[in-house]
This record gives sequence, C-alpha cells and structure tokens, in this order.
Amino acid sequence: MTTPFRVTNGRLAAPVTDDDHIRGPVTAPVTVVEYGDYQCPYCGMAHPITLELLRERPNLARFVFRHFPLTNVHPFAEVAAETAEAASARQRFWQMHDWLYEHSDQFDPVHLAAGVEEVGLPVDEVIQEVNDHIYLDRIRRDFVSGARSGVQGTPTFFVNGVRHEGGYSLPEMLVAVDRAATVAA
Amino acid sequence: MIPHRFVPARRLRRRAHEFTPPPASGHPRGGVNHPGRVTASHPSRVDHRPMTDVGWPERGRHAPDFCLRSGPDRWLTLSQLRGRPVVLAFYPADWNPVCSDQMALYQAVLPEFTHFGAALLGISVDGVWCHRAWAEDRGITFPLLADFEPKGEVARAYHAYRLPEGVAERALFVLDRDGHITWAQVSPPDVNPGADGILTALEALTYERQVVS
Repeated sequence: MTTPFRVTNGRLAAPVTDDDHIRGPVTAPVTVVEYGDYQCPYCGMAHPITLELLRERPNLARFVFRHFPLTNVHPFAEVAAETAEAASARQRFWQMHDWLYEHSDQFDPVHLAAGVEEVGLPVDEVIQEVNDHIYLDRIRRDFVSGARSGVQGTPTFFVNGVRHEGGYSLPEMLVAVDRAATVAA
Repeated sequence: MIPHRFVPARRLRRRAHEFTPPPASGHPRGGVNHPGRVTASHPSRVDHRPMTDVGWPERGRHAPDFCLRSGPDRWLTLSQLRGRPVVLAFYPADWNPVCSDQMALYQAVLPEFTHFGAALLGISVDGVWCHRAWAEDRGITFPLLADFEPKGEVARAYHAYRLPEGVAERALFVLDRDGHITWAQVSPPDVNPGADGILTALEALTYERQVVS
C-alpha cells in the first residue's frame, strides 16, 4: 500500500544578500545555502563536505552559511554562533567558522576562548560582545528566515533557492550543484 | 463526477479490510480499533485519500473543544485559549526521532509563534509521565497534552487518528481567535513538516485582522 501525497519543496524565503556570509566567487552560477548549528554533529560531518565541494567546483559554486541554532537541544550553539558573528565583525568569520566545526565537542568557555585567540581575535572584547548578545538579532534573523523557508533540522541545504532533498554526501551534493548549473546555464 | 472523498460505504469497507490485520478477538469485525467499528463519534481515516488533502475538510470548521492532562496534576481546556490563535500539533509518539526533531524545532521557533500571540500545544496518545521525561530530555517548555484515556479521542475528533497503528497522525491545525480551524495539514509519519506552513497561516490571520479592523 502506498499513500500518495504531494511534496511541496521548500524554497528559500530570504534571498542571499551582501549581509550573508559568502564563500567562493561572487559570479558563481550556483549558490549553496546551509542552515547550520555549530553544535550539531551532522553539521560537523557536513562541514568537510562543503569545503570539498567548493574545492571541486571552484568556478561553479559559492557557499553561504546561515545560523540555525537549536538552543534547547544544543545549549552552546547560540554562544558559538555569537562568537562567529563577533569574528565576522573583524573580517574573520570563515576562520572562526572552520575552527568551531573542527572543535564542536569543546564549546566550554575555556576552549572557546582558546579558539578565539587561535583565530587571532581580541579575547576579552569578543567575550564581552558575546555576553552582551549584541549579535543575537542577526542570528535570530537567520533562524527565522530558515524557519520560513521550511528548514526542519540541521543541516539543511538550499541549492539555488530550492531545498536539497536527500543526503548530503559529496557525490550527492556534486550532482545537485551540477544539475543546478545546467538549469541556470 | 462524485467528489473524491465521498466514497460509497461498501467500497470503503472492502478497502479497509485489505490492509487490516485479521481480527484478534474472534469477533467478525475485530477489536475496538478495527476500522469496521469506527463510528460517527469515533471517526478515523481508513481510505486512500491523499494525505495532504485530509486536513482540508476540517478547514473553516469549529475546532472540537477538549480538556486534556498537560501534567500529572494539571489540565488544559482548549476553550480557555479563546481570544488568541492556537497551533495544535498532533504527532505519533514521544521519543520518535522525527517527532523529536519536529518538537525541538517548534521549541526553537516558539518565540515567533508568541510574536503572533499564538499558543502552541503538542498532542499525542502518550501518558503524562512519558511526556514529562521527553520534554525534559528535549528542552520542551510548551504544553504536551496526553490524549491517553479514552485513547486518541481528541485525535479522532480532529480526524487525525491513524489506524491500525493506534497513534495520532502527524497533523497540524491553526485555529483563529474564535476557535475556527483556518489551516490544517497532515504529513506522513516519517516526514517532518517544518514550521513554515504554521508561520504562513499565523501571518495570514494577523493580516486578515488588520484588514478587518
């Protein structure tokens, strides 16, 4: 017995703007948007795949990261996102982003401070900003745009504005990007 | 042409037997939960209608009132929430991975629901202690209601009871301030519907109110 039903594909509700964290060539025909949570183990697994994707399709794809912290299950996700935003204010977003995903099991204050220092940021200033939650509005904006776009959990990818269904292994992501490039061309 | 949902009763019964386990009780029509025993006061979905359309007949109707346990010694009555929009999220079971993801997401989106003035209620056939343990594990603070005794009675009243599994459907309802169902959606048990549909429905309610006033 099969139950027929209509799947409505999620679509990116908020278009990519200059405010977003963008990695890769501006002119790339394919934009991959990830809604991610720094403490989510699946996002941690997807992180090297996104890097490899950009390496294998250097002129084809650009990558955008938006925050989707599920604070009730990942208590440190929001602090990590705020730290990344503090780094972004100092033009070091991607360095901090990579560090956070590579050390997602060490989000206690001591290790996080060590990470901030490793990335080359002023530790005291960053801690102050994180404690004052001055970047929380921006993180919330990312989160709401994700909820409006039909993000059900993390990571969720959008390839040229359409939610990527299925797995996020490298071959699957490459197929999705190549297909989007053919459509765009 | 006969509308799709008005299936002749005899055909419906024959179809129901096709996927129903053999009667366990020795009674020719099976146990209490057998689709053949489903009555007007205890309806359930037993045919092959496409699932996303199941919620449609509910739209515009007055939402059936209920009073369910929200904790070991607390009760919640739907009509007490009159005056603000209500989101009813029926789900199959506590601890189910998809339900866990869905409710953790709704907990995170809760400030947005509150922004629209809406109350969020989760409903399943699990008991209050199970709800409490799960809520603590997943950090859920909105009320989880136990549709436990008589089992699934509220889910049946909303045509959101799934047989032969005997659990609530993964069904979402958005009620307006007067308690009318303005939006309904039923998803397959293994699909997390996300929060976008609810947010769009709540936004439409706010917009209508602004236009009217």
